Amino acid sequence: MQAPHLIQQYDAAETPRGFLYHAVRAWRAPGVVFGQRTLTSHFFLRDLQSRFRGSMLGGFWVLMQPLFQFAIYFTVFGMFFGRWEDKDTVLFALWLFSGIICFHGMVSGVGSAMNSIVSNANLVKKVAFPSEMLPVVPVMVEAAVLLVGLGVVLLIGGVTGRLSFGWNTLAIPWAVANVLLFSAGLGLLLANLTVFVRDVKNIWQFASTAWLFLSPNFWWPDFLYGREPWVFGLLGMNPFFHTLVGMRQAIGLVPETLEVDGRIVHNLGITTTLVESLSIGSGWAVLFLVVGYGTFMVHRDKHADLV
Amino acid sequence: MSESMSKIEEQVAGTASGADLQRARLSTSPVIRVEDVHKTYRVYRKPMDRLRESLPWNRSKGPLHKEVHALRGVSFEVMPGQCIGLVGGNGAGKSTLLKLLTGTTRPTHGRYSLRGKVAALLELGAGFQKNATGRANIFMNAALLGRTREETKAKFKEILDFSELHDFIDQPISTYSSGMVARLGFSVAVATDPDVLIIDEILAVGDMHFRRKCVDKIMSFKDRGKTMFFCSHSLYDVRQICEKAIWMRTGAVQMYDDAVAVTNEYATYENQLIEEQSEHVQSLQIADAAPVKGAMNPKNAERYARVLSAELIDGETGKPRHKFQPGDSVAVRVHIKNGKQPEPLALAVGFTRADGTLCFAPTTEMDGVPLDVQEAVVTLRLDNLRLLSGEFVVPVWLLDARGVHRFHETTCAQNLIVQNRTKELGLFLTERSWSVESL
Repeated sequence: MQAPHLIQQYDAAETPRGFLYHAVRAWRAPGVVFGQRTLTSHFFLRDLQSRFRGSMLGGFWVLMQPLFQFAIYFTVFGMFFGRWEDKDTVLFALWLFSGIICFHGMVSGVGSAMNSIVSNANLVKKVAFPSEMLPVVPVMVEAAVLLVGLGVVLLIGGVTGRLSFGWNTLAIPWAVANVLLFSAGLGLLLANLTVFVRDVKNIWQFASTAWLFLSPNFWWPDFLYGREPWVFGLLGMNPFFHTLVGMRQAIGLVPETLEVDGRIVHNLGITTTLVESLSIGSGWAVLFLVVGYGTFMVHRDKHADLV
Repeated sequence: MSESMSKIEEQVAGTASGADLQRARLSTSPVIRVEDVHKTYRVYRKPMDRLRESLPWNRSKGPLHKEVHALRGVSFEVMPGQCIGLVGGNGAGKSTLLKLLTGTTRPTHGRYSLRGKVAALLELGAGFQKNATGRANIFMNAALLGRTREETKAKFKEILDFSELHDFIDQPISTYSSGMVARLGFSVAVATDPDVLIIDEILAVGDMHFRRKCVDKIMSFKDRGKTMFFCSHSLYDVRQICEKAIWMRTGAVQMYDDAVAVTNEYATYENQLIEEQSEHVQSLQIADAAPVKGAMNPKNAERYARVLSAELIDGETGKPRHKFQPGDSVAVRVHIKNGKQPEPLALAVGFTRADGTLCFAPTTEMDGVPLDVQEAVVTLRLDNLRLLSGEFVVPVWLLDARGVHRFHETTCAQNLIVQNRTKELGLFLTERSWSVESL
């Protein structure tokens, strides 16, 4: 008699567990990913390999996309619109690149996460397994790519002396965790929604583009000074705002004062400290994770019938 | 049921601990229990309707969906060690029921419970990744079935040996044939050693040699007292492999009984349907047993068990004869030879009318005659021929001992011709009596 303790049962007459039941258990989500680490690592490697399998440059492409994006944005915003004329060119480049890799990581992580249930329909329909890991895996892959990008930023910043290393450097994992949790939460939320409303992915395409420009990627917060108050209010509501700012503070890009070529570069208009930025970022991330995990788990059993 | 339970409890209470009692209870309580399970799907005309229906101000307009009832009130129990066949037409709810037991979908109403580790083969190779190698996919699929890397490593050789894909294991799955993918999927699933095995239509894939290995593996599961749930369109397989069977029709259990009884009922029902559509299909025949690959090839004559000759003879004189009258003694003499690796065999002899109707077909397997020989002459004697006028083809099948696999098939050199001189009508002569009660 083998494993008689394994009993699966289901009674439709019992009240299904609601949103709150699952939402307060969102802290278990990392546990699911770790508890199923054999499976998670398989999905992770599968995702990673599928990005450059068969291509000549292989893993190089992981960095190429944000690099190209950076090159384009730097040319357009830096040269054509002269955003950096009163600032430091290298500082602007680092600000831009570190923002792009965070934002790009979040957008493409969420983009793959939201399709993960629909595109793995065969798996969801035929195999019983914790499918909540499907949206989390692409987000983890993007986080790994983000780490590589951050390495490049730190290297360039260190060589050119534009970054300050110190206690703030220790906060980099916190900042990356914010991006990871935020993307995972939003990914779970939209993955569940996509099962019911397929249009979500079309909306996401232009919504994420709008979000890119509304987030402090091409501009720093002092750009907001002197604008209409509603502009500041609107842009400050951006849930990813403080995560982006916190990341720049963690890598040491936002010194109180920095003297470059005899000019004083101010704090770029950032009013929160490193810990404040990261804490607000974490707050948003946890909120998205709780809501995303909660709604996903409430509807998970319906996925197999709808995909 | 409860009586037998209490008996066992008494026996156990006399001797031993609570653990034994627990064990005894487990072996007499159902492994699968399904109670009044319904499954209803909502079908929307267009995706927008789903949204419109959920809006509060549209509530009063009534539902915008159609309900499709895949299951309506299914209840049954499966005891440990039983092998249950699941038969039924397309759309009868078989797959929905299997999906439910696997846990990928939930019932709309009712409850079910399953005890033990479940492995489902709803689709062989579900979750395989086309670009990855066979080796990577073994680990991936085993992980999906809940195995850790170490456990899979320990079983890897077993999986590889069973799949016989040694030369291809480091090639991407995209280079595999569909049969090879199925082989790999089956090998991984059975290596997880589940307590309850749920199988959906998987014996239809793979070559015949592999199909045979699958059936043998399934049989060994059965022999070890594992529970199985087996869905197949081959009634012959269901009959040979399962003790009991469930016939599903329009989402409900039409019949749950002995496998032979259920398959017969179902075959009759299907034949009626087919006749209504004026097509002729035989649904329950020994010819449904899958041929062993290569066995039919004359080149392999020495390797596999074969029928060397089959002839009709007079049951009394033993001389060749093919024209009889009802009541005569008819015999079929078959000369068989076992293969290079001898194994127990079974012989079946059929009597088929010219239009293909199988009149009767006794087999040594169903009559309990062992056939564990190197070479033999087997004679089937029918002392009182009940057939009436007509010409009958006499096919002879040589099968493995379980009657699942077909080694060789041939027909007697001459057809059986029955000529009756009486006024009897029809196909068969039957014992009968009349009685007349005047009122």
